Amino acid sequence: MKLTFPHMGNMYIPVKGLLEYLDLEVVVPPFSTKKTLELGVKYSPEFACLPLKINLGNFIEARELGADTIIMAGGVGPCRFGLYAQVEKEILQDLGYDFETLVLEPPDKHFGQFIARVKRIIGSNSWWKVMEAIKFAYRKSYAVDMVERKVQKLRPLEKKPGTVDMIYKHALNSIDNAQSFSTLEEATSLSLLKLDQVPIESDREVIKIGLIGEIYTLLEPFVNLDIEKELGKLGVEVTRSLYLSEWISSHLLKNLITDENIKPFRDLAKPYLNYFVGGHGWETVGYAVGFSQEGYHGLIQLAPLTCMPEIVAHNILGKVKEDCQIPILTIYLDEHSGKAGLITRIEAFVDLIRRQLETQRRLAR
Amino acid sequence: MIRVGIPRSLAYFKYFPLWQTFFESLGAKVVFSLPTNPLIVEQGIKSVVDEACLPVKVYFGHVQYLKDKVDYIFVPRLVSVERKEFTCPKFLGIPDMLKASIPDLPNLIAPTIDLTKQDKYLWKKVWEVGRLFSSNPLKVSLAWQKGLSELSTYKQTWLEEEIPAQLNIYYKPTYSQSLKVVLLGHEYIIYDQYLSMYLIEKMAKLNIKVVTTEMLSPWIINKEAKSYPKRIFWEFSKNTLGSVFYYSKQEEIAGFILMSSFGCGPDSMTASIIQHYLKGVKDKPLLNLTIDEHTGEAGINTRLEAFYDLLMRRVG
Repeated sequence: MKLTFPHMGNMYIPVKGLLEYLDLEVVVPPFSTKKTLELGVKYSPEFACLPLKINLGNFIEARELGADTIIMAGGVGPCRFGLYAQVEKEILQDLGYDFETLVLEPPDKHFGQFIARVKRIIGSNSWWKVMEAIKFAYRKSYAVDMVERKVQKLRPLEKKPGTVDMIYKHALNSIDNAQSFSTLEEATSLSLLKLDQVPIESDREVIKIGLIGEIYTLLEPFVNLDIEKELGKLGVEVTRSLYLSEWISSHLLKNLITDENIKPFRDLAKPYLNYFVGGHGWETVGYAVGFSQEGYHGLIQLAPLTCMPEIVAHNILGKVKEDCQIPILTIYLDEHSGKAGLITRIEAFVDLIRRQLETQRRLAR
Repeated sequence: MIRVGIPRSLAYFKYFPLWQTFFESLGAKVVFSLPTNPLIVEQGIKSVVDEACLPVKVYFGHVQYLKDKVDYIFVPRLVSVERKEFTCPKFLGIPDMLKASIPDLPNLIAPTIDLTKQDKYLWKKVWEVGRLFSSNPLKVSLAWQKGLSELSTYKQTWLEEEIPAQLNIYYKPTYSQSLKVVLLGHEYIIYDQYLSMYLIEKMAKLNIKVVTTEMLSPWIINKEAKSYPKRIFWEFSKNTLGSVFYYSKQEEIAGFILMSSFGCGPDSMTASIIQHYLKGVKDKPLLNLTIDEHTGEAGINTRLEAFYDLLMRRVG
């Protein structure tokens, strides 16, 4: 049994960590590229949203490397993501690929059904070891997030462009390679130390932008056309509404490990959106209000084209923009998105914010 | 007399007899917006983000139409009308979207109907709405019962394979109708003559007998839908799939037509599942029509006629 899973940003690090900790054979699909996208687009339903298409591309490429079992998250609505696993399985079947799938989702009939499915994957490993492995994977994702947050802070300040990203790439590798709790600890602190040594210009004016929106487009740099890096080049410090470890603990582990996820976004979103709308629509509105209260200069909403929850949020953000006096740019991404177009738009957006700050300063004088 | 406006769009097609009777029994005057027309569509497009699907844009147009003509607009937040099932995420956000993008709205009656987990709260919601018109729970309850019986008459008409007269769809079943074709699609598209470009009438003109999802009893649909390995968590998609599974086993069904709007999330998945399923069924072709605000009628006609020719050749 060779296991594979879809890519979503740095998610491959904890997932691979988890499975390898259990001595299972893992095939990490090649990083998403144009080829992945082309494969996915060719075989997916035309109007499906982008993540499905790329997932499918990932699976086809992993198949070529010998994978025969898919592990992925699921859901029970109302966002489309809940049906991904089933639809993808059917498409792969039509293509003549027979995968076995394990979907991690709230069980529909009874909990035993879920346990049985997990049991088939983990084989002879004890439940204690599975718990350990989950803990290990969570630590890995937490480490990745710590490094990433630092990178986001340093990008706009670095003296020589590209230094931070070089160390970042290195850090991800060393976290990925760590096989035990102790080596993981070591890799993380070493990476953070290295980042601390990057020469910076601390008197540079930094614009703070919050990235909000749909999880896949937020976390996967191939899909969002490296927007964080590009914003970094423009002197922008980026904070996302969503980090991998938070998602893992709230969505996959249902807050078993931490209880810090109290979800303040619900209260923040109250005046604008009173109900969940699936996906991350509610979070998007809540964090938009939150970020503006924290004094961020602007917000960028990312979403795959036709994403239902984000369309609802987009419509409501118009009102948030007015009330909170904060510029918001919405970018929809699909297989036709081009990098040049994105850069023009974020450059204009950052220019707008800088000019606004300039005017405010002049008025204050 | 209090005037209550009901947009003739989205859930209207499924529940209007209930809503109308309920409000009228409570002494309110019910004002429906006009059937969708180009002006309503245009106003809708102006008041909502471009990425929304056409039916949502049209809904906004209907609300714009009603805005200055009534005291209340009834825009329920239909989260879920059956256990463990949802409507569409856009339905979930409708009242909030309206408030965010249309200024000077009259009061909205926007009860949240969420029957995902249990349905004993339904009465609470009915009372929440009824309270605006009458302080007598008995009167509200009677109005609700009357509405429900009106709704079941409406549903009964469907089950007799007829399209209710209230929808004003000119459609006369005759015995000469040689082909039976299943028309799949959201009720707010296929029964909205402007959006569907009179598809049902056009099919009738070609002597096609139209059957739809509404003409099957929920009992059959639920039974059929259960055969699918994953629970379909959108109520509408479940109905569509259930009816596809059922009708595909019926000998007299010549084919399927699926009409959906561009950018429809549930339909993008449902269409894929239907295609995959019908691939394994002999002699049940599928025509997939997608509409948006730029769709031309000529294109729909051509495709419908070509599909008709294909079906005729198969039969003959």
